[in-house]
Amino acid sequence: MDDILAVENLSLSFGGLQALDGVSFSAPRGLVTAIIGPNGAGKTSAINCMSGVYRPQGGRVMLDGRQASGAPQHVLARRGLTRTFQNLQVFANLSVLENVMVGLHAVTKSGFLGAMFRLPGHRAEERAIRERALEMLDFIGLAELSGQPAGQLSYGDRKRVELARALVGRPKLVLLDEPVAGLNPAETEEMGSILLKVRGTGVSLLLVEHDMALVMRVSDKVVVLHFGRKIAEGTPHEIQNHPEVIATYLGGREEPINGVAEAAHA
Amino acid sequence: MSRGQVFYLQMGCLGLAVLLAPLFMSNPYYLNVLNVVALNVIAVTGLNLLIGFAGAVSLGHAAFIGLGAYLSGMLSSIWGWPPLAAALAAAVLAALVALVIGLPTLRLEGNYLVMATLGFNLIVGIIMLQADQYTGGPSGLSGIEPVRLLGMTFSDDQSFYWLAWAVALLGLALARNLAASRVGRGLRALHDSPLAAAAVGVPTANYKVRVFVLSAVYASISGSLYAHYFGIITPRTFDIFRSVELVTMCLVGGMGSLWGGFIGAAFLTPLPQALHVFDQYKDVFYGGLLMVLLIREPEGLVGAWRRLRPRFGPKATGRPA
Ligand SMILES: Nc1ncnc2c1ncn2[C@@H]1O[C@H](COP(=O)(O)OP(=O)(O)OP(=O)(O)O)[C@@H](O)[C@H]1O
Ligand SMILES: [Mg+2]
Repeated sequence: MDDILAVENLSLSFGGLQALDGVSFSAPRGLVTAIIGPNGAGKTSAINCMSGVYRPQGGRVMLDGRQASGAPQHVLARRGLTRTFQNLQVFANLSVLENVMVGLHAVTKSGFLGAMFRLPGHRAEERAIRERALEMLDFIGLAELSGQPAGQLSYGDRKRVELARALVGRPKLVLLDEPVAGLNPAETEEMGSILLKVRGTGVSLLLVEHDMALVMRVSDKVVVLHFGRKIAEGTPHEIQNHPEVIATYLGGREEPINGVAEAAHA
Repeated sequence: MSRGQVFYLQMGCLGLAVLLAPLFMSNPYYLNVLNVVALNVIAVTGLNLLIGFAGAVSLGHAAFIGLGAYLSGMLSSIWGWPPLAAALAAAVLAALVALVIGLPTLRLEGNYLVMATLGFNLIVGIIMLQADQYTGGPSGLSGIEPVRLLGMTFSDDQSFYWLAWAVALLGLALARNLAASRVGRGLRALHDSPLAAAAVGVPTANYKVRVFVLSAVYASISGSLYAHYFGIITPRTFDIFRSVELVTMCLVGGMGSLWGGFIGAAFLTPLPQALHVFDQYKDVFYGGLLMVLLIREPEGLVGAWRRLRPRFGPKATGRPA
């Protein structure tokens, strides 16, 4: 099996709190893997370990066959791993276009002196950056807003800016922390379509999400975390019918699993 | 018009103003003031890159100016180096010192740089006073040679005016090129969200250190020019109050806006000279102004202008990037 990402026995604790406790799973190349689990299950912590924000205390993360855990974020970005954030992190004072242009940082090179003296290589690179970012804005449907400061956009548009910024450098793997949280049904629907379109271009996706309908729609594989442990892993269909998952989510309440999104979010 | 074109248009206007200004200067004293403005513009432009684009503050920039002034002065007057070579060597040393201060402090979260640079400014001040066989102690270093270039000597107010403003305009243009580039976007991004900047590949600590080094080089060049212009330098010129003054200039104009830094320097430099009562309480004035600005108008004059402009002029329309 060809995996873009393998997480082996990952452990992380904050003081006495065990956020991740020996978690192992993998994300197949070119497909969409979802991590689900109740609030506080350790999903964001897992993403932070994979993207280099945290250094796990135990276990390791392999990206495309090479160790990733321990490497700083910007190095992992150069190795083709990008991400979005649960609490939006757009560059509020940069325009939409500039936000997406910054997304190409990892795959471009020119430095301080080249920029200050506008050396020929730098100017060619700047042109390429702008063109590629404009293409990306077209793809994600933000071309109209390219000159706006990103901080002034609606919540849904800011989420799209973040996604565009993560995608523009043609990464191998994108980690998405709750891509549709806070979006209305129409925006959620559209985001789902965008994610499937991205999947179609061969980029591997790993997403954390509470919205089960979206997870079922876009994922090829689902991993379930609960109190820092993995309790299940399988196809969306298998997960929907997994007894421990149903017990964890429903906790005695008589709701179908599609209602979990609202229940977990309240 | 694109932002780049707007900037070069503004630069062109400023260049023209610089060319014409001497025609209206009856009193050479005014030229002297404009020369000091130019020197401050150089230092403030560098400091503004640090404050505005990397979100870090230095309270030791006067020490880097001092380093540039003393090193350049000593190399040329004691060891007979040509002034330009001395200025270059001083800039290299200032860069190294900034590297040593920046590497440990800028990797940490929080404003450790402020404290480190404050301490640095104090130490440099003490060295200037104590190492008197080289620095001349409290009475300073005198008899520093003027800059000579292509057979010209930049010693009097008029000739130095051309040199100082040429360097100031060049410094502004280079800083603006940086701000509008991949590196500049990375710096502005890390100012907004260090986490997200790192996630797209910006080496955040490394960039902050580099921009700090760059700002120290700007300061050093300003100091070297100062030394070769006045021919005499004393430690007091480079004390902690001067550092506060420079930060105030950045904030008056508007941090993060290069024109803001320019306006701040142009506006505040002549004030103490214009109002002599001021001179005595200069440090109190700058300290107080800085406090008021931070509380009332953190965006400075440029920010206030942007806020007020729609009330006066035609409504600002969304500019293409
Ligand atoms: N920086 C931190 N310091 C201390 N505790 C933390 C920190 N970050 C997370 N935690 C704790 O670790 C546990 C896992 O948090 P995490 O954010 O990974 O959960 P999550 O699955 O993403 O939850 P949610 O669905 O609410 O986003 C929680 O109990 C949380 O309170
Ligand atoms: Mg989370």
